Amino acid sequence: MKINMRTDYRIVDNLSRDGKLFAPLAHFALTSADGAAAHRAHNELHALYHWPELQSQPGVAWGERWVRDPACAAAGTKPAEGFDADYCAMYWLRAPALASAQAFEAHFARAAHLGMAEAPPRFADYMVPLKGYVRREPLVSDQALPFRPNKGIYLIVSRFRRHHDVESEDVFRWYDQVRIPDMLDCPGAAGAWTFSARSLYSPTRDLSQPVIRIQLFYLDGDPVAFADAVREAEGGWRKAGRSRDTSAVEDLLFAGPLRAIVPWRWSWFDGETGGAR
Amino acid sequence: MRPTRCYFSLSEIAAGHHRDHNEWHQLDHRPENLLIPGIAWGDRWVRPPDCRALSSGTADAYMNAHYAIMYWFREPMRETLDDFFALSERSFAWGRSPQVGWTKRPMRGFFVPIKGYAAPRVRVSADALPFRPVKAILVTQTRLDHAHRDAQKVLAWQDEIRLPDLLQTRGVAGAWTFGDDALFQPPWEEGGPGWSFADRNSRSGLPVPNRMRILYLDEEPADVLGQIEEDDRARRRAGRLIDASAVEEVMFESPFRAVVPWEWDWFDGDAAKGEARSGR
Repeated sequence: MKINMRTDYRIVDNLSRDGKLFAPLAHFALTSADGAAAHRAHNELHALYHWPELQSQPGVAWGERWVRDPACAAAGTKPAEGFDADYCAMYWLRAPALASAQAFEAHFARAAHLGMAEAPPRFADYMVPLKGYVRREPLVSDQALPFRPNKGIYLIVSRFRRHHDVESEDVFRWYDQVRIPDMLDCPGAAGAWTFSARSLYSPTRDLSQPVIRIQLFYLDGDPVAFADAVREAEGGWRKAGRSRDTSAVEDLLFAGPLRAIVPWRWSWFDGETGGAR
Repeated sequence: MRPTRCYFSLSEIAAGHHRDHNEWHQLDHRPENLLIPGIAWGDRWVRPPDCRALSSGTADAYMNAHYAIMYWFREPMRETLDDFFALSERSFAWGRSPQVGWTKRPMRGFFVPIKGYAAPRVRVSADALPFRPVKAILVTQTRLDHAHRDAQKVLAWQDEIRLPDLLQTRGVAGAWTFGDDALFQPPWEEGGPGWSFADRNSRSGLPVPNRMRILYLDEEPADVLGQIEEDDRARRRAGRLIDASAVEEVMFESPFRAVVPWEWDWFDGDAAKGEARSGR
């Protein structure tokens, strides 16, 4: 990924001034592997090499990775073309964002020179954290929430075709005021963070281009049970007038649960022989 | 920027409070600490009965410890420690320090990281090693007599022979060594007031190590310790072991296991025993 020395990094850095936001930038990657041996190798490489090296960088505030095991895949909606991933990795990057992103990229370039390159992720991008939400029970602040252990996440990735008109603004408000609070009331939710595209924070932005938006729900209950609870609640939300059709502005690319990864417990795909995808 | 100071403590938890303690530290206090910009990393390990059985050392006061906690700090140290102690104070004022009711800390102190050693097979750098997941660690806390005529010889042996040898043992992913931070005061320090712990007086009678070594293990601790013992037989024959006991007293050596969130059942039987002892 090419990093340009551009003013948009200064703009996102300003988000973390005066302690407002601990990380002005986040990197998301959706990855996959094919076959049991490849899954184990992928996990070993990430948990025992990439993660410790990245986490030791001063520019990396926190990194985490989750697995979309077969039970999670069955509990989520069918992903859009190119988003059928097995893992989600995300890293929160401290200011100065450009330097942190450069060091982040340099790590992967160095790993490739050490013979540890992998197939490109299905999706990878830098995103700007928008807002944190935390339920009352976990006690921690919204900014400490990402550092709190979780049993998994519920991830929503959308492509907003329209994002700067009256209807899209109303959809954003509905997510903030209605949908996210309703989802946080489902059993197992601890909190959530939302993220918008970095490209919108550039003076050279093109507002006619679609952008990615991500919602990440942190779960301290079983992620599959949370996905079931969300699905079951949808009828009630509809009846209560708390549901809406957002398809005029966004395409849902990925929506479903993923599970927290405990090092060395990498058996979710042990039955797979590979070549299925 | 590499961390330049570490905090390490051993804690003892009253029977019946282990789940409360793990929930508090892992789900509340540690996340807030990790948010502090100067805190590079923080970790906690457990010493269940099987690890306790593998312990040794002269510091009787440490032998009932259930957990070890460690934080790595980056510069500027004064700001970082201001934040670290302020969080502790604020947590108390928020009513989010329930551990005061059930925790004893027989050992706590600040150390300076001396040198990291990563086994070539794990491929990570020594700086990244403390972040690499482990199945367990082996903590060795010692009191080294720096004035002893053989002190430098022992320290050089540890660096050049002992630690590289230990990295050859199956299950040892790497090691870090640490020195007492009192030995690392810069001569230009202006002597401003430093942070100290609220329970400083109650700790004054407790022994304090001036050296620490942590081995990072990615196999079962009993297996690794057994393997070290077996490998040491050959090393003794090869003249690669020395008797350092005149220079360095081993106060505490024990394995600790990694803590997996929500899997906090190591001492579940102790709750009933503790209640029976207290007559409840």
